Amino acid sequence: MRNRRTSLALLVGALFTPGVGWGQTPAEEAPPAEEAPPAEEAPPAEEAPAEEAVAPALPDGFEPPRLLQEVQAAYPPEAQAEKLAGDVVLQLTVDEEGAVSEAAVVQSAHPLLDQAALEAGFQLVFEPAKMNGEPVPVQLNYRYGFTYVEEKVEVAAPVDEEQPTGTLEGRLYERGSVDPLPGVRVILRELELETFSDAEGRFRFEAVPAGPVIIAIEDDVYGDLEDEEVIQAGEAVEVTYRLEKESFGDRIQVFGKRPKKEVVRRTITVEEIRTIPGTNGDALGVVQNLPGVARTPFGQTDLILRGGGNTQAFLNQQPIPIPFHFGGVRSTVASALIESIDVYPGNFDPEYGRVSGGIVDIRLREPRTDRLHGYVEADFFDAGVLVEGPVGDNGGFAIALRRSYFDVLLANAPLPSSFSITTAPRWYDGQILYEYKKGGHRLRALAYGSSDQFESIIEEPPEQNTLIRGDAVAKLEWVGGQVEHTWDLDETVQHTLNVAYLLSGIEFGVGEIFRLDFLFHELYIRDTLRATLDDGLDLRLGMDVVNRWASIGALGAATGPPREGETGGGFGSDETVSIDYDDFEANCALFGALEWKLGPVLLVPGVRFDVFSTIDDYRLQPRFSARWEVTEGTVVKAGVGRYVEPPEGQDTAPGFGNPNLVAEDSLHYSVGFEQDFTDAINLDVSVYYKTFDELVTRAQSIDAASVDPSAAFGGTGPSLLNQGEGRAYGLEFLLRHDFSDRVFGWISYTLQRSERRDRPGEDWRLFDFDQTHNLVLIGQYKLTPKWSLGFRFRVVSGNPDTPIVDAVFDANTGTYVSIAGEANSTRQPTFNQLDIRVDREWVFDTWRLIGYLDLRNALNAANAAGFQYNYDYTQRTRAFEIPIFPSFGLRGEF
Amino acid sequence: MRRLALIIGFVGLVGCGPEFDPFHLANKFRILTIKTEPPELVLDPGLLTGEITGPVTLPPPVEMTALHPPADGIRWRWDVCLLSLDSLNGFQCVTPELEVTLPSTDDTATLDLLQVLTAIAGDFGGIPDGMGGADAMDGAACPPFLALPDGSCLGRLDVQVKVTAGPPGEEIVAVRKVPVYFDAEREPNRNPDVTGITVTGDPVRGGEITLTAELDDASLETFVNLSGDTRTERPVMSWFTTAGELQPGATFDDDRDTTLVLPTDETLDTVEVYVVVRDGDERRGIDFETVSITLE
Repeated sequence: MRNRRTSLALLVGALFTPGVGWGQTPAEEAPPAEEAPPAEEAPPAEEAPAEEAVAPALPDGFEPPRLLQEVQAAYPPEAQAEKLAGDVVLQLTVDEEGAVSEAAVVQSAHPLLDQAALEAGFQLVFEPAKMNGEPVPVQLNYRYGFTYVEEKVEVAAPVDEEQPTGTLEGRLYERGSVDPLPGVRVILRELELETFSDAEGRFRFEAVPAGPVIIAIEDDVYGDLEDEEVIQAGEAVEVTYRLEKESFGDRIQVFGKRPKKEVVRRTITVEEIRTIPGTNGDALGVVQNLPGVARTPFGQTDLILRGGGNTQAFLNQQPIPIPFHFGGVRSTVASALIESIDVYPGNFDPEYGRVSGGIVDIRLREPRTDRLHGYVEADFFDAGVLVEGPVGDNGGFAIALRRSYFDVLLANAPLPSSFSITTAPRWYDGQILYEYKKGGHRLRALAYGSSDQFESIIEEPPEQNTLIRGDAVAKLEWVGGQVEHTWDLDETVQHTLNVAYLLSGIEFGVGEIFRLDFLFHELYIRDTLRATLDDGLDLRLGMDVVNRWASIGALGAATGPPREGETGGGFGSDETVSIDYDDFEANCALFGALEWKLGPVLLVPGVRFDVFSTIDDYRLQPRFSARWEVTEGTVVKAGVGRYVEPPEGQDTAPGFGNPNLVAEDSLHYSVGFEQDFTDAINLDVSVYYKTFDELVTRAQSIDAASVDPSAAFGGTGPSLLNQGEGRAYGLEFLLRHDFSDRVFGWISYTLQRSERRDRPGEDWRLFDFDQTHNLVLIGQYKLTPKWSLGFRFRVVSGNPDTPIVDAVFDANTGTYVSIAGEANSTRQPTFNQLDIRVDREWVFDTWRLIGYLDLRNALNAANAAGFQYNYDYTQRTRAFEIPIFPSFGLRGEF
Repeated sequence: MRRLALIIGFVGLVGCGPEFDPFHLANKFRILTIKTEPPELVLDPGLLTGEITGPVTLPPPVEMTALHPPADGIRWRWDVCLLSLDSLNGFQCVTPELEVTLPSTDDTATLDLLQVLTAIAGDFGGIPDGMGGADAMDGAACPPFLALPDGSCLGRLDVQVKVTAGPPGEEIVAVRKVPVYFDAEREPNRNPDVTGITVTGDPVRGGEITLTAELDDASLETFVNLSGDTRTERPVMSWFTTAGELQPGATFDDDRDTTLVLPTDETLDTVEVYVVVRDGDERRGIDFETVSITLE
């Protein structure tokens, strides 16, 4: 029988050096700090005796850190056999955010106990120490006491020496999650005995008089419970209680906030992702609700940040080839595996490049390793499953799979005889994650992939376009893997190497008139070294390499796809596309940045140097950002930088684009401030200005010497030139209540204007997604522990629109071709939509079931989505986005 | 790639359309097709470079006819452009110097390519900037407007015919491209041959009649398609009517029948029916036939 007890944590000393970051003077050189009070919710029983602490000579204005979130160290099972006990004293570095950024053992008890203490220590959350009201990093000593208890924890005083006794022992779990409940008070009132459950939820009473006994359990969050058991003489009675959460605490949940060094980084946590209405719990769908991110119509998948330029989605800092499945309904990475999403709408770090828009960086979480966990979920669109658990002592795994079932539903749906579906829209995606941690090493291996497919047969084409007949195929597939090794060489140096390989393919065909096949092999290498050079001076150096083998083929009757600002084009035109070439490109970048903390000011100068082999171009990109913590909770920030984006592959394809194109150039400027009103409520306001130069646009004359007439007049349309320019400027406002036990939400507002000039001498026009006003209100409130209600309300200026002013009958194809008027010279009506979501949780002994109703466009607003035209464009009517649309989902997890 | 993904994302989002006049209802002045005879030309490149080494067959004049519902007061204008922009740019002629107007004032015109080339060569004094420097092609010089920067010449020129027609102030525009291949060995495409429309049934108001396109299958040629496969032309029949409803408005391959639901309008005495036959896919051969239905 295991008898052991883990002592509660006790803050015994705080050694601080205000204003100095990590890597500061070792603790023993500083005087001991005053003893901080133990956390209120910590179980007080049988704690290891606190060391005598002598209050240091604290400087005026210093407030020591306060423990907000206690984490008990798990008593290692292996220690039980060796009857290990003792105190482990850790030296913790608590940063300005209150997170433990460093932990080291300064008093060892045993390697097993040291490791357990370290693992728990990193999870502690503090209210940061303050000097004159401003958060400062500190070092402090923190002790974990481990006690080996061979026998009972509580022994009843013998009432009668002759009276027979027995043992009562039990475990407390949270109902549903089956997580052990530590620190819960267990009382035998008649015997005047009480104890607290340990880290594994165990409690034990010995020498309990035989006969009935009332067991009382008291807890603020999990409520009170009374039960009667009969103690048998000489026997041990084992009981198990599953307690259900009945109320909320006041605690703000802190998701390991990382210190900011960028001008703008907005983070969405997985809890927020899961419950924001109108997104069906999809990770990347949530991104559009942040300031600076344009709303795209239902079905479109573009991520457009701060008025344009491409935006790259990363998964653990490596690109995702195709972030969304068909129609943008679902992202290709399971949301449940995501820890958080960082959105950089501009002025991002030199680590990122090759885009001039923004960055969306998805960070995967660690697999849970305490036991086997998993879920099964299904909603209107698809179903998914996840399993995760431990592998050995230091590893963990997670496997997530998902499949849509449109095809199953449509297989039995009545369809016109002229149209038959071979493979309805369906998607798969999956991720297999393995993580291993030992000492200063962390190894993470990820295999992932996604497949979208649609096939149909058009027996009778529409009479206004008879060329489109036969099979229509659309396939988007990618598969790959990445391995990441992080090595903390010592307290000041960390090295990370991430190697990823991706194979992706696109197959697209329309009858016998058009076929397209893209195949890419991509090898990504990212190597980063982080080093602390001195107090408050950190350096990051790295390399970011992509090698891409591309096989591109397109053949048939089609125009090239319309570019930004263009309308028209399509398949079945009288133009002919003919591309067939293989290409290899090696794009390499070196980057470096300093993080220089000068008191309340953080300066981050950096530089990135990109080489683009295909276009034989290279660019140096200096970037700089600064943050100044003016007063406690108030930060002023600014940034400026150069960003370069190479042309897309097809734009440089011989015979289709222009092999002589160079990279597009962009400058980002932004200033702003952040204000924390409370631990949970904060405001972020930024204004920005962006310029774009050398944008790739279509040539409309043959005056330029670099135009390739074979592309211009061979049928695919005029060639492309680096002749466009653009500008975007705006204001972003985000007032946010972080996720707490009960409420979260935000108000996001963007005021912006984005314009382009396609060719020299032409007038400026609006960018396709110029949205003057973009207001998003999100709120979610937990009515009870089991019911929650959320809403999302959006009001967004309508997208610019290009009127169709005429049409030409193309006798070769028998179709009409629209003639566009001035580009983006009109605007769609304002978009508004209210989404409502209700979540209900059912808790069972060993698992939980969560159901939700996500009601999109609850007010059934008629939001315009352009126009539909008759065959010769002389008649038109408005097209609308989705009407009111309910979606249900269920998720069972254990 | 992202843009492509966006386009593909729309594939499955096909919704029900609003109620517009159907394409097959020719109840206003419009051009239903432009037939060119022949549909394409083959030209010995030596004619352009002046390096003729043997007997040369001059390209025949191209006879062009615009098919349209009956209308009065229509003004016609026929223009020919040697180099035009694509549909995304409204089929504009690259420069005015490469465009000539044909001497026609009705729905027919004749294109004499050599005559057009001569006219343009006379007007066109120089090489457009960026069009290359008349480098050699197999030892011969390219005409300026066919030269590519790498020294080769375009192997095919799509001569664009533009028809502007309609009552004054209400003109409509239609274009037809006539491919000209600079390859003396090429077997030029020929138009399909539709010989008539057979009407089956009594043409009573509100009733239904069956219309059959009489197509000479011998006119369907074999050809090598863009993918390099040898195929037989797959005819497409587009049907039009000045009144009533066609079910369906387009038929394919061996399915050459359609049904016309006749109008009930007592003021109508006749209904004009047209069938335009294309030789399908990337082929550009066209023929048409007309039948007049007298309502009973």
